[in-house]
Amino acid sequence: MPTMIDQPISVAVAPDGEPRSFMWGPYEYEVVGVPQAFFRRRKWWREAGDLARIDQELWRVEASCDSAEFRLYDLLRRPDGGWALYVQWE
Amino acid sequence: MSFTHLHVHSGFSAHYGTTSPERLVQLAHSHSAPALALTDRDGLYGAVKHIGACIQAGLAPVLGVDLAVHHDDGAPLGRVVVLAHGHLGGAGYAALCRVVSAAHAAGSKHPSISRTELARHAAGWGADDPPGASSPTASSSDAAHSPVLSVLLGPASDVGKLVERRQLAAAKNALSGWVRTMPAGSLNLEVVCHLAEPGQPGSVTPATRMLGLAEAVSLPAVLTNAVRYGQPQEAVTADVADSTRALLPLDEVVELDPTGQAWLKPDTEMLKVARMVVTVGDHQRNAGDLLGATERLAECCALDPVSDLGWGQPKMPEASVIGITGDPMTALWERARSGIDHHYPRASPSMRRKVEERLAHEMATVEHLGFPSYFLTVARVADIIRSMGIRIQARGSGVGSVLNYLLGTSGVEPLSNGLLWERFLSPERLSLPDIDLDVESARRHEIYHRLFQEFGDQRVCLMSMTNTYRSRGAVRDAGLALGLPEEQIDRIAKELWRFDAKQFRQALEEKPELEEIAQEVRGSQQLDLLVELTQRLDSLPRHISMHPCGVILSNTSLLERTPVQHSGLGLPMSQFDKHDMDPMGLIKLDILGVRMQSSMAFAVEEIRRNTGERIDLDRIPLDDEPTFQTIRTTHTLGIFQVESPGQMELVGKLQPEKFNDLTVDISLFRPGPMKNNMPQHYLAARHGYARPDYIHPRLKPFLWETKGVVVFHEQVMQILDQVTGCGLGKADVYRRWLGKPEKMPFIQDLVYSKGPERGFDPAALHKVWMILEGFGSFGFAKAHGAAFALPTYQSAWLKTHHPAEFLAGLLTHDPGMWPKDLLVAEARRLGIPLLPMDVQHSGLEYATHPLPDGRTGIRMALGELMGSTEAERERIAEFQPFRTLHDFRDQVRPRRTTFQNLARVGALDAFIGYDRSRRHDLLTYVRSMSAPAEHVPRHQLSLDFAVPVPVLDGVTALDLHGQRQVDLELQQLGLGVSEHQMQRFHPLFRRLGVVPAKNLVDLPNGSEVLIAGVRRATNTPPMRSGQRVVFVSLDDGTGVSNTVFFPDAQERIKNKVFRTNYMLVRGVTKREGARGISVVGSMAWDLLALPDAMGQQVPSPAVVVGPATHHNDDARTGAEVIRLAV
Repeated sequence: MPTMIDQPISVAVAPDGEPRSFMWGPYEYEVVGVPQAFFRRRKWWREAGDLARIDQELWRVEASCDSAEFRLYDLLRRPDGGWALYVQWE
Repeated sequence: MSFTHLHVHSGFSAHYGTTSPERLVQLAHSHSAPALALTDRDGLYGAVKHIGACIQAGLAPVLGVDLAVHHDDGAPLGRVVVLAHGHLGGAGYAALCRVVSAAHAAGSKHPSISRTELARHAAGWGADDPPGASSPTASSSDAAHSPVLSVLLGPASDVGKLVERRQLAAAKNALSGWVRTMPAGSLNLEVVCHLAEPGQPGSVTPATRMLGLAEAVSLPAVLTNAVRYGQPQEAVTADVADSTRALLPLDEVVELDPTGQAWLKPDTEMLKVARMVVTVGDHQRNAGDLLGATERLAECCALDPVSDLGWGQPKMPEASVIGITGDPMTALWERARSGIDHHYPRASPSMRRKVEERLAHEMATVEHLGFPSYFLTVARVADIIRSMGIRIQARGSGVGSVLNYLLGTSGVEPLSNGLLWERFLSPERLSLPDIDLDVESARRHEIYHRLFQEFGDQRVCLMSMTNTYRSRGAVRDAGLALGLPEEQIDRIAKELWRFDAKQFRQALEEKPELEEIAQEVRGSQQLDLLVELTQRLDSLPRHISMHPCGVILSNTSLLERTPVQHSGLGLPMSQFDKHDMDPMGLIKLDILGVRMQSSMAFAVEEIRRNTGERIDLDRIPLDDEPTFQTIRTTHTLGIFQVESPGQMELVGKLQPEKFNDLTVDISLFRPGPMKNNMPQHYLAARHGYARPDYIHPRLKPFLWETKGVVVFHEQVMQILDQVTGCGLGKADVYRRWLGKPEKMPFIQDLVYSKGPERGFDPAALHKVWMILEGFGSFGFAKAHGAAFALPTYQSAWLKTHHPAEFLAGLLTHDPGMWPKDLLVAEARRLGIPLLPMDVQHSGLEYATHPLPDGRTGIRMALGELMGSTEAERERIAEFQPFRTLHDFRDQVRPRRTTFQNLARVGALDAFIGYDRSRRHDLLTYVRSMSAPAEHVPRHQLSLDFAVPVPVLDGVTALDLHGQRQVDLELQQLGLGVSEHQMQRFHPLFRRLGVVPAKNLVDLPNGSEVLIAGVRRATNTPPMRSGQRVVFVSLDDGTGVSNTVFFPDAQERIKNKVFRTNYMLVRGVTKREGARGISVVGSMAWDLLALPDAMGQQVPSPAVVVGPATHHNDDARTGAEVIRLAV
């Protein structure tokens, strides 16, 4: 079950743009494996907002803050380059 | 590392792609891509633009098509991409053309090709050779063993769809069907990943499965992005396109793309995609392998524009087709020489010498450029048309050629008109010559069919044109996408016709009549989105259709250089448009149907029928004084090119006296010259208000005819030649450069450096440069002007000497800008008897009849009866005259409505002894004849006795009650035959003091007037100031007056400027020249809604034709009217 978090976070990225780790609260989460980028469209014709993008960029990563318990997280990358922790998967 | 996109849609994939080919190339270039493909859906519509842009940007062009394929049994196999292989001497490109044509051959709206046929073309076998036949059409011998096309099986193919659904066994099975059918080496699997959420179409998983499948069967896999738009922000437009294609609002479209990732991504992005695909699936191949295979295919498909497409190499019909056996140059000389005696029968020796010199000069260029077959071909076409008895008139720069005149292609003598060969053709010009032929519109299709017969359908096809979004269509499709109510869209769409969709937002801000909508938009986010989407759709291609006049004539290689599809005519049509002709070496002839030519042919035939006189319009003397008098009165209605309100005013000022004046007049009345104020300068000098400035004595010979004003392209060429000594050929090249800011310094340099040594002083050079700089690319070719002036003169001649026949021709073929009701009014003004519609006499077309009093009348045509069917009208024409009403009913078998309409309008009055007062009886009786007509076999007289229409005392047909005859005519025919529709208003006009249109010309400048009438035309021409000015032409029954409304008046009058049908206008007269008169309008009212305060009884007409609106003005404006009227 996904849990909606939607909080801004800071993310450290590799030169090719892949997230390596992120800070959530006081903890640093290390990304393991290959993160997977995907996009999700929005119903732009129903919402106000920028028409420059019709989809949001999300990264599904496996990460852990203690190298013990690994979970899936969806990180949202905003068009301005900022990040949010969007969803935590149980 | 580099990446080539091999699956790319441009806006020419109608309702699918959104970006122009040029823009896509530009983007690919900015990504430093080595090559770029264009693979539009169903055709090569954008191919030539793509190649051109690639050549310019230094990219290797790749061409293909995204096409539906079906099994031999008709079962669909999805869509695939077919790519042409390059550097095969055109074999790949030819096969691609044939594949596209084959897919369209069935004429379906959803083109598709059978896999077997696709395989045959991919192997390099021609369309007609069965596989296994002995000789391949491909030129080189090794091409026989390797395919000339590659096919990409991607997500939209049958294989891809099964992969998407995880039916891998079925996918493998489907793939083996392809492997069995297609030639070895032609198949590739196409891996596409649009980075959708895992588990959705377009996600990594199906892409990685596709790659796995390729590995399993050892086929190459290539990566594409199935591009639909150049940049991410265009994804919105693609969504709207999907909605339009599905005819559903966005909310209901099921197959919207899961993401907005189908853009032309740079190599770095594509590398990421490749990595994701190979990593997730754990493949033997790495990202480098996938990208490497993609580049290898791209290299194989890189086309050489010259050797593969014949880029820029003109291909003429073979000499044998135009009846030439020997050297075409010799044949051309023979024909031209023999034309001298025919076309210059009474020429002086010096004129003859001039003709011969000019001919030799022209022939040298023709020989140099290798175009003799072109001239022979065009002359042959002109001969064919003439042999069909069809009027023909050349137009365009080709009119400047003595050769064309001698060949009979053109009818305007170029030397005496000062026309230049170099404006048409010179070694310095890179484009192919272009001769336009105007023919009778009514017989144009006949000509097309005949040309296909004469030249063979391997060598001829029609040219197409791209229909793009205009504002109305754009707002409708955008509205549909947003799910707006239809009435709302309709209401907005109705107001959008005077500007491009791209200017929608700007128009809302600027145009007073759009204020209401602008306010709504400000208050609604949805409408704001509507405006945005409408602007995005503007100019996108919607579909192609037959070009109104372009016919492509070529040799037998034609169908290997252009794909063809069905046109509305049933003749094949190229997928290329006029801009594609030159680069593809395609020769096109513009054979344009001109209604005026049909009208004139009609008039000439009527004259022959009435009098036996045979008139050859092309041989009438060009100095007939009464003809010029007609034009000078400004009663130019119906005369070619000079009947518009603006031209009425201009000829009124200019007062043409000879043929060349018409050429000048027509050339001045063009956007460029108008913008540059040339008419004013010319008129001032012509009428002696200003001294003509010829700049320099050496230039006077070229400038005297326009009083020193530079109007014609030919004059600019002469000036450039005189001042710089560059020669006329170069001069035409420089003339074209005048519109290009980057070339201007070069020409300026040339003028100032060469001028002094050629005897021009600095002051003259300065003047010359000012003129050239201001001229830009404006002005008009005198050749065009002279070619237009000829039918202008011919139609004016007919109107002067045979007005009834001429107007009957106009009414039949409707060539001009004015409504037919006004043509009828013009006939009345000229004293031509108008004979009402009558089932005993009216034919399918208008006809003229000599009357006992010596006049010639015009009989109304059956075709004008609204709501009648063609079959009914044909039966009337076939069986007339009728003995009785019953006879009529039994022979014609009219539907109830037709029958009653005929009775109402008086077309059945013959059966009541033309006693109009008995029409109540007639109509009632017609209604009583409700029993179905007895069927009488054709050509057999019905056997009833002559039963007269009974007299029915006291019967009133309600729909006749209180109606004038003219009301009935306007209702049923849209024409006022018995009287002018404004006549009812005349008593009111007298009380108000409305000035009759015909008297306006007698008023001094600056007179305050009221004028009125029914709206006949509305024009908003582009103005020099950039302000929008609205011209409204009103007809009050005495003639047409022209009123101009400037922005301040438009502000006061609001949308009544455009919407009021019966108008009362207050304004001030503005006179210019001898007969130039117009009114500057300050206020306007709806005649049908004059305020009660005026105490006027407006005779409300029972019928209102057109969109008259009923607004009530407030009392203040009413009082103003009264003040003025008193």
